[in-house]
Amino acid sequence: MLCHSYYSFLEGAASPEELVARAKSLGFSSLAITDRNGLYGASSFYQACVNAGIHPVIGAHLGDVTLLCENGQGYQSLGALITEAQRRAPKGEVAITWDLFEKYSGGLFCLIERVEDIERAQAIYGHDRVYGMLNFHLEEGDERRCHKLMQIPCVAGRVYYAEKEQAKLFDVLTCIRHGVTIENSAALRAGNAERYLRPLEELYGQFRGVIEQSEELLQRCNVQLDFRRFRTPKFHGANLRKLCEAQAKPHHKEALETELTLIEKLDMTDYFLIVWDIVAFAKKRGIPCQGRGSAANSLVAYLLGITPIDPLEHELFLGRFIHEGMTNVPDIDLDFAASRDSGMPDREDVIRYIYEKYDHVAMVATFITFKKKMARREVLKVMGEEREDLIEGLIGIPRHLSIHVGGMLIAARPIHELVPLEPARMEGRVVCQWDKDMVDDAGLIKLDILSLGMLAVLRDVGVDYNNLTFDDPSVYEMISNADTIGIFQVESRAQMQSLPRTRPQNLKELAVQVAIIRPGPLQGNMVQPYIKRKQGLEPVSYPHPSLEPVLKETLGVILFQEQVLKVAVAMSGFSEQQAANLRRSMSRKRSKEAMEALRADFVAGAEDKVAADHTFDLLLGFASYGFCKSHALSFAIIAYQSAYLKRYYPAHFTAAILNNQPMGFYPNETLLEDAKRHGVEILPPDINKSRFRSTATGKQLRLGLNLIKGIAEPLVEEHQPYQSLFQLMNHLPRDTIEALIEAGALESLGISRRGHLWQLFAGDQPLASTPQLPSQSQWEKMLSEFRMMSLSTTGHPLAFLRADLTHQGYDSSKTLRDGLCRVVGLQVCRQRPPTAKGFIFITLEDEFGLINVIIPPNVPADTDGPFLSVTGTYEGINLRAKRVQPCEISPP
Amino acid sequence: MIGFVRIMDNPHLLFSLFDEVEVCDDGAFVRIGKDIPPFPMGVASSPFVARLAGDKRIERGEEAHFVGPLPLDVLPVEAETIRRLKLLGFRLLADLRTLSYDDLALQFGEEGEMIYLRCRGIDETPLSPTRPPHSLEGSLDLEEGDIERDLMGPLFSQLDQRLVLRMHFSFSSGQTLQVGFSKPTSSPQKALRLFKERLATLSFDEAPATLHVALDTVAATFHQLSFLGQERRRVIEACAHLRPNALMQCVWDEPRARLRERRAHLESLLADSRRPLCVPRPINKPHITKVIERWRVEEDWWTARPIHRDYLHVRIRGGADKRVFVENRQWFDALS
Repeated sequence: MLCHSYYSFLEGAASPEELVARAKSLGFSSLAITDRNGLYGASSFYQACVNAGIHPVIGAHLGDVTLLCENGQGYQSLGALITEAQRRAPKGEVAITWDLFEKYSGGLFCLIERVEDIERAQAIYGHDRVYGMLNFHLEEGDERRCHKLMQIPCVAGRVYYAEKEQAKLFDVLTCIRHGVTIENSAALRAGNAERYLRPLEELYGQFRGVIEQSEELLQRCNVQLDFRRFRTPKFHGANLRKLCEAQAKPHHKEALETELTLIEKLDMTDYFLIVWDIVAFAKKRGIPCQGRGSAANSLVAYLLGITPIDPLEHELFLGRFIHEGMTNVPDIDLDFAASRDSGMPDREDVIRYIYEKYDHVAMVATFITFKKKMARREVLKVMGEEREDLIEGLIGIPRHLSIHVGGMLIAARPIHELVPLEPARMEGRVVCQWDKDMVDDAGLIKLDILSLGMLAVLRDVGVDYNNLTFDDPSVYEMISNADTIGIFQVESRAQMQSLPRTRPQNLKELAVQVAIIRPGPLQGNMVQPYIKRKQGLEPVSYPHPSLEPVLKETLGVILFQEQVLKVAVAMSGFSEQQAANLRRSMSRKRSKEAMEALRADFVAGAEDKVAADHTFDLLLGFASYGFCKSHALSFAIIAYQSAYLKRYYPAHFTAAILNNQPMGFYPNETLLEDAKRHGVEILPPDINKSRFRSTATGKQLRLGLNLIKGIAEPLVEEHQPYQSLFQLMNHLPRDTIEALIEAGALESLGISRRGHLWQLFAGDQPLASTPQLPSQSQWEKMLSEFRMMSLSTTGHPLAFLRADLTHQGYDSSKTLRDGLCRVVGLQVCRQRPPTAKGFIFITLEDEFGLINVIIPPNVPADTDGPFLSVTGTYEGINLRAKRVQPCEISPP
Repeated sequence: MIGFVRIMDNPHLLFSLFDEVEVCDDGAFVRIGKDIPPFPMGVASSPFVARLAGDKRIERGEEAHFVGPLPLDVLPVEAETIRRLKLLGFRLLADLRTLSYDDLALQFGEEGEMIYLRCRGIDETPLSPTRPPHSLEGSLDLEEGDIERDLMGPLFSQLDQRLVLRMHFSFSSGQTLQVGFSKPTSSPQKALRLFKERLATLSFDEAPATLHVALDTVAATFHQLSFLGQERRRVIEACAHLRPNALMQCVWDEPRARLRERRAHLESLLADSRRPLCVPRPINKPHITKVIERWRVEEDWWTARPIHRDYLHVRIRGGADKRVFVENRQWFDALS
């Protein structure tokens, strides 16, 4: 049978895996996927069929025609056809014409649904390659239509879901597609629930010869989706061995030889050279970049300058990246600086370079699927009520295609021969129809070209990081005191909570810190044991004595992905390939199900079955979110560098963060308050002294004009210095000037903000005089600055109210003492992590600092509003709330 | 003096009580003589102050004192003007009196001149009396086979913004049945409740042939607009309530059913979903000589009464073609 999977985007309700499973249970020997306008589901379908022992047939539904690939040539034709049809139409649509079918007809079978198409199709594909497609779904008129079509050989038609029960979901998807309610969708919906996969005899028995012809046609189709041989283009002009040897130190020699031999054996030489070429380009253009992820386990990557860590020095495990016998090549993830507004070269230049240098390039897709919230909203819209069965059914179904954040495919052949392409929104960019897992399954290689704001911050400050030795005690002291606002990876509330207890004192411990405060270790209950062991409050213990060498550096807890591999090898005798499969299943969707399948092997291989079962549970908790050690080290380096800047160049560091927002956890206002606490003087934006971006000199930070709402381009800088408002009015739009006045940027011209506004509103002619206008209080100035910049240099709002608040019995962050207390603060951060069992974490800010509030699940809390009043018990670091309510702030 | 009434239970009363009535978006101005107004309203020498007066009477000479502490938002000027005034630091009407006429006129043009007057409580705009709207009514012929249509829809779309106060059914026998009220009620909510109650207890001796809906002309003023704005859903519910009544035609066509059984059937229809229902006509299994086509309908799975029918286009003994369906093992005539 031919199937629409849910990759037909709202025109199918079952995953390829569900369709294949159903086909297997029905005893089908072959099955075809024919999704609408693409091969989005082909890779998953193919894998599922191979695993189930079913003959997979690949095709697509285009306009009123369905095409099936007879062979590799047909697959290439179909890819080219879809690519061109997508290219000719606006995004999300295809432009199908008969001339296009004619242009790419080789190796394809054509299935038509309308009698009037017979002649045309036969002229293009030949009489023996055109079939009628009987879409018999027990609807009124189906039978008549099918009999009319039977003047040519016919095959059974398509289905839209695997089981009859999925018909309701299919109806809901139809309503979502058309934007109608279920009540108003009668004309758009299927009239019954008969579009499910079932034995052909049930529906097509009455049509003579159709069952036999269907089976025969599918058996004639034979396509292999394995493109390993096309995965990387040949790279000319450099020799990997020579490049590495030029950088290698004597102690690298042996490991380098081993790794180079493995790379050659795995046919990855060109891949490494391509990555080296991209990194070299970035470095040449002054674009900060750094390899992350498992690639940092590679000595070759280090010697090529792709990653910053010497894996030998840090005892990294190459097997996490590559190992003997692996068939799929791992990604190398690269972070590049993203330079907002700076005009400096950045990641976009790198992507452009890749498109220009390499012939066959495409962005990797990602499928936007229904998450719980979206599913709930859509079901409510369609049904008028929240029906849990439908909401659950929708979750995970792809809604539309999007572009992966940084995934790029570089291939040795035109990519449309491997997977169809679609135009991306950005001019000249194309996106392939597969996501990263599908690309991986097909044996292709992708690169992750990612954007990392902190790299731009590091560049903007302009320190020479090559001489950093990562051992400055004062930097670690600052981190250990949780003075980490703005510091990469360790600035979150959860990090700040644990830092005073873990107190990292070197790069390795910082890497552990980066890796430990994450959902994986939290869900696996690994965080508290680590912290207690680090504090010496509990002895170090291991799930099994055999794991001591593997888990010693993390005090007995499983923290790094490398450790998962080593645990599997040490405890259950897994081969490297088995261990890699276990690790890989962690990073896939539905990883828990995939890992459960490996549990049996894991336990079977272990001597101590009980301990193995328990250890496997720990691994399950760790699934999908764990870091690899090499990645943690890469990030720890950036964390240290950013901490170093905060310690020694706080004004420059803060200015650089302001210039590269959005990034990190905190709003500008909080960053500036923190900078003040580090002795930085914050100067207001000034029409003549400020640049477009914020600047720093010594311990002074001058706010940039880009912080003012509505000023998105450096127009103002062009005509500096300004002598008067009227000079500004010649160059800038009125609303921009108004914003500048309100932000206080014109105060240096010697007229009050309101005086300037009066003149501005009056128009182009200078007024003889300005009337007496109400004077502006500091409070009002602060409000107008907040309105324009979401921050104020006049003062923190609560500073104006402190006397009154103290009189009312409120504490401040400075006066908090253990015990019952009451505070008011500006809400700067609120988190409700799924791992926190209903606890809410809020960070409040007053003019003296931050207050960490924990709201237990049994405390009714109204957290709407910028200012909150919290009554609770202060316990050293945290204020445990008993009552939380919004607080109206009125002028003093 | 000018009176201003913001919320009116009986707006048509204004036309009978006052000679000059000016209906505006949020109420009505009336010209008041020397008599005390018959119900509470804001009274002042000018429309601007009367509108702001609530239910107070502001005597001549007291206007400036009264408007001084009011916020800028009460000024009848563009929102942009208010925004600018606030940015310049003004909060109350009294604050604006520090600005000269020239300053305001130069800065805000005609609006500036008006601001100068209004912040002192001065408004010399004359009343522009309005007339009550004309009557509006419509009718709809009910025909055999119309039973699945939304009977009230066309009428209500014509009378979209008005409250239906009278409705009567005409029967082919000449009998009429009026539903509604002989005169306007002071409470729209009460009107609707009574209206629905009346509909629910309706009992016809025969199927209605015409439905006539009329609107009280005088009452069709602003309070009813707002009433329908908020209560539109309930009016639609009332219409939905009417639909099952129309289906009685089908039930009563069944000649063998006794009156008590018919009524029971009717009540069960009324008690269930308000969706338009077609009452199928049960038949005995026909003598089929040929099945021409078959199909299946599975619908309304989200309701309390899901439909699962196997339809057949058949030829029956005697040579006639017929569409029938089977549901819960019962045969039905598909054309019912």
